[in-house]
Amino acid sequence: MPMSADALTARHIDADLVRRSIESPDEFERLIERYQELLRRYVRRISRANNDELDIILQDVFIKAYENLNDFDQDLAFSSWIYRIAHNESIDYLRRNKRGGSSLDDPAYDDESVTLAETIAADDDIASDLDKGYLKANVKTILDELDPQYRAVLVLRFLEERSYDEISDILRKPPGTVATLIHRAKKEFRRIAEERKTL
Amino acid sequence: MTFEQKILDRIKSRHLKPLPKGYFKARNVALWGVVGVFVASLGVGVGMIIYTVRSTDLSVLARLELSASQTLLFSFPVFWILACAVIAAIAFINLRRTRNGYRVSARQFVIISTLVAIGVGSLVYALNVAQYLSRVASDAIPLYNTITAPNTNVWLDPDHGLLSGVIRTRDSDESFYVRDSEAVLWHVTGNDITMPDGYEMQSGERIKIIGKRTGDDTFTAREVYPWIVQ
Repeated sequence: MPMSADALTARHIDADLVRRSIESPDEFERLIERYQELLRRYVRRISRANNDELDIILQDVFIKAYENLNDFDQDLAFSSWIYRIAHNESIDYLRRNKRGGSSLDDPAYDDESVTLAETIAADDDIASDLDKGYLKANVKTILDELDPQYRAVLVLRFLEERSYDEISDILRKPPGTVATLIHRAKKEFRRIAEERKTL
Repeated sequence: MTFEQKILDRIKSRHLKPLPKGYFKARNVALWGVVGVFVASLGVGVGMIIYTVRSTDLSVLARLELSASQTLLFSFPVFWILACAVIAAIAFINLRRTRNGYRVSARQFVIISTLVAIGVGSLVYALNVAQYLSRVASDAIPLYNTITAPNTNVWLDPDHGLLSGVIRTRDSDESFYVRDSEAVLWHVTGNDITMPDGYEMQSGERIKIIGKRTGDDTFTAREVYPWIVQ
């Protein structure tokens, strides 16, 4: 898929900042500024960590990114590369803390869950005959019950609005596998939604 | 202190530096090297499969009164097929760890590695490398034949009229010496021995013999076949 002018510019800026950060750590500050909010949102969505834990995970993400700057592949978007690190750190966090954080009690999730419910409800594959009001009220719980890899592809596709190729680069899976994962995640989302509705 | 400053402080206080480019390049090259070695090994494995299949004479096997499971086991190079599957899996895992290896799907890997393995395997077989490796391994590794080619052992049962080995010296088609895989030198004799059309025995060649044991190291041959069916 051809890249937009904005995306192309962002890529050039990122590549330039990477080059300069390798020379001087102070330049790395610009990259942190550019990505910390995006990554904070993504890590929170995947790991369900609270704000204190989020800070620790994010610091690890940026430190790991800094140490591996020379491994950044210019063929990729920097955002995909650093999302990959953030994704891996989030999964590691989930493994260490089986249940994850306490997203259900965090009011920061409310607006997001409405957006997510609307996005998912608009997707006919998932919600053609599920009540949209019910979805809005339960989307967080359903997402929390999903396997992390299914949660990740739904978040990346529907909330982060990433392309299949970008998701492939972030998860290090072939694009065909990404399509399969998204399909399975949707099915699983629907199954949990229907199961909960009958309870 | 801002979030950005906290990270920069951590970087500076711990004297962290980006790992050198050469480290990542070397790691990627090493991973590709491992993939290459395993795909080449897969080729050798396929060569061994071809060799084992070509060594199995189904028409003779049918006369050995084997059970269905034995016939299946002796007809298929089960060990080498399993070995190839393990080698392919290791190659695939390492491919996925290379920088862009994740973009290769399992299906693409199976197609590409199968084509490469068949190519290398055919070469390994055509250049007699498989035959050489099999001979060297069966001499050096105990139980090699039992594990890799159970049909070899079927052919080392002189009490039941089956003998196999390498021709050491040959006086004539009716008197020759064969060394079996247990290093016993057999004097084989016989009149009007049945052989495939146009076949001529040669010293150094591995053969299969059907006949009768007549002593500790003597055998009367009724039929002789080359180890590899042409």
